[in-house]
Amino acid sequence: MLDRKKEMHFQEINMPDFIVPKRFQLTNNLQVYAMEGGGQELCRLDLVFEAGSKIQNKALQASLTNALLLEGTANKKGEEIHESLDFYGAYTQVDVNSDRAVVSLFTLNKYFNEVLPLFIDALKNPIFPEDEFQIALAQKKQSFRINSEKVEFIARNTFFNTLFGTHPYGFSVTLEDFDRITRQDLVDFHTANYKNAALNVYIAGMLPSNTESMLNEYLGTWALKASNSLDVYSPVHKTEKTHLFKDAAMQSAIRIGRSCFNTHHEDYQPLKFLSVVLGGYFGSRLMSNIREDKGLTYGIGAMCVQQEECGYFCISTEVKGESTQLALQEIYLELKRLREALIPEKELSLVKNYIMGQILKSADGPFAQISLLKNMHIQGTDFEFYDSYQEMLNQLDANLLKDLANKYLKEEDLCEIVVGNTSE
Amino acid sequence: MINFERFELNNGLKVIVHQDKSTPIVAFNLLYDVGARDESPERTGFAHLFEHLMFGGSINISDYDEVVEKAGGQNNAFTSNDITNYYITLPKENLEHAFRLESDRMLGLAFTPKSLEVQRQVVIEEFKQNYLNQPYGDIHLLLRPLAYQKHPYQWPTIGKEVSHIEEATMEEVKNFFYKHYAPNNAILVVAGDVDLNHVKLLSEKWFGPIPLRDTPKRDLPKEPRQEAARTLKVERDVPVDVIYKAFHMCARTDIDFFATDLISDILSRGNSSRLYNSLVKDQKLFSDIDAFIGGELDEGLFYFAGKLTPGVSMEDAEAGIDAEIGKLKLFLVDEKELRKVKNKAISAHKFSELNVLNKAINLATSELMGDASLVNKQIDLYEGVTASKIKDVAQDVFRKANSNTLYYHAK
Repeated sequence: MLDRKKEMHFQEINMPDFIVPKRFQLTNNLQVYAMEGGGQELCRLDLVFEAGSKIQNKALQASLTNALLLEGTANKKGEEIHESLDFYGAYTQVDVNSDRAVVSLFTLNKYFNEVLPLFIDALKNPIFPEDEFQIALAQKKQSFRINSEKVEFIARNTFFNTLFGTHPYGFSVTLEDFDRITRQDLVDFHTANYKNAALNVYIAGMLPSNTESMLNEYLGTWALKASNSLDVYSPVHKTEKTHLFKDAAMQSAIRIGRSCFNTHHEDYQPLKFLSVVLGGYFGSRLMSNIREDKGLTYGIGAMCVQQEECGYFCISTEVKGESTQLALQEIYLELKRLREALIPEKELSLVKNYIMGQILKSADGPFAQISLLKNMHIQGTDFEFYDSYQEMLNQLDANLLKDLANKYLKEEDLCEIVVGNTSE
Repeated sequence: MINFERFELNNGLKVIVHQDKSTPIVAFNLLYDVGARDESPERTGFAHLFEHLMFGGSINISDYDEVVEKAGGQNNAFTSNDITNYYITLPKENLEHAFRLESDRMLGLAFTPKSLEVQRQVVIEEFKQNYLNQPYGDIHLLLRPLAYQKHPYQWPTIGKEVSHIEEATMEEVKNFFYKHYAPNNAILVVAGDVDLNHVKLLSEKWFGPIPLRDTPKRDLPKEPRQEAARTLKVERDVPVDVIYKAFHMCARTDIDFFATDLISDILSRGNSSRLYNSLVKDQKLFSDIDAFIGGELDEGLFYFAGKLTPGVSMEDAEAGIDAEIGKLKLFLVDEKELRKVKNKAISAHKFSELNVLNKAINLATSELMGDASLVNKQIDLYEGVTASKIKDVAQDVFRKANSNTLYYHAK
């Protein structure tokens, strides 16, 4: 008879086998990381640029440059470029955050020779046509106006602004910024931060045999400038509590957190672990209490986020408006528990397994692994980081984590932003 | 091409196994053939509420998530108008935990009053977060009942109104479970570095003892052919005017589905598409416009959704959409444009097969539509669409009398 109640043995999860990327340099010393495999005649190419919003001179400069990269050159209109890329079934993706911009190409191998030259030409020689610029600007402005109605959006912006003040990490766009930005700002930003500045190149999939020579031909001539030197920034520590009332809001958006450090700080990984215990997975303490026990929210999370110059810790949720005070009280109670009581061994080992499972999933095939490697490089690490990771995890114990909570997560040391129903 | 093997247990559970030796992860996907379309009009949102309750403990296992997390896995679920789908991805060494968890939930739930009470609140907060406390959040709450008068697609998965969720009783919850959650109403897909015989063994061991249940044969009212255009005008506190148009289209299993899907690509897939170039770039009627299909299994909807450029009237914006529709009805798509959308659809299909969970979900939904091997026929079915087929479908779908238009005005 099958005993369904009996818990079965859990196999320990070992580090996955990371694919050792093939590395080669193009004639201009540009570094390429290549990962072979995937079982489909497809490949993806990612180019990473130091073109994040923190180096812009004007609001919207980085994001609009990024959004309009493929919208037209002196010889080809944007629609011609897209027409050709679409015809070959190719996809492009552009992305930008405070630190970096990433431009990606997804293509069938059989059209690699046609698609690559098109893509690189568009990326290297855009003229940012006025017409395209105005359309994108109008779109972004409209999305901004819509987002400005959302409690979550207001809370997020207020949170960053409180934490990082006048540093670019604390910056948020205003409606007036949309009238100040010009096409020329994009041209200037592109010249300075894309045209002469490719950082790293990543390619994965069942790579076409001429990959290296093709990359050399189209990327090897790219003039490179040295990387920007890295600033480390230590913001003045803030502990403000800001409550903004929003009329007719059914829910309140809550952000509680603080600025901290980047991945190179010795406390980064332990604090990240602690944030998982608190609110990093479905069974976490915040989810168990605020959602699964009290039903105050659809979701609540805590995270420790890396940024190149200074990361942050943040708890975020949207809760039932009339229960805002109860939610705040319970969040602080969970923080207090981390500071005052040891995390039980059972919970520690569960979270360790959970994290190992996440790593395993992020290593699911060459496409996932190249993406992981790229992100690790952006954070200033490498797959070698994982050599000692499991050991680091095993050494994390309840006492150390309790000390850490007392060092970083005291109620009086955290900022609190509430947008929505702020009545007591 | 996805290779797979298929077998069925005596209790009617269909099992599909796909072997992919390249991944350390196994995807365990269990699809139940029940969705919001199976709800009573007085108890909408029930299939989705039920999805939440499935995580509140089963007969022998009080904490589902804890076991998944200990096993180093991740799990989630989604409910649509057609199906409720549960999945776990976990290291292959811990695969059997997934069998234990899912078979116990199929056997029976704990049905604790506390779980019902809490999940009811959680779902109400989800309702508010996504549909009520959100600019334009209520669009589908307005559009669905406009387009459907008989078929239960007239409500979204979250439900018609919050009160239906507030009033759900434990008795109803239990009835819903035993009516729809049964081995003979489910499809299991296991994909990853697994062995067919091993999966057979585990399936027999864990799911085999669950008895076949008496599930009702689905008999939904068919939506009558729409013979007069419908419109609805609302005013809301939002920043910009928005227009939505929905036309009835064929079922997912109909051969015309592929032509209809390509029409949505011609109109709005990527920056070289017609709507973007004509209505956004040239005429500047919209700051953003999309055409897409809902993807439902029964006869679904083909949508247009556009945000108007400030200063443009609803009439002019709508005329712009109508003109693009007119071209599709009048002229054949040229070969190059047709090739383009086919290439794009085929490449999207191939990219979707890179991920083991996607493959598992694709296999499960294909099996639900009648045959898991449909997953490997998609490319040929797209290839088979002709320009004249596209014109025929456009003429049939984009009849004025078949239109449902929502004018969503900013106050």
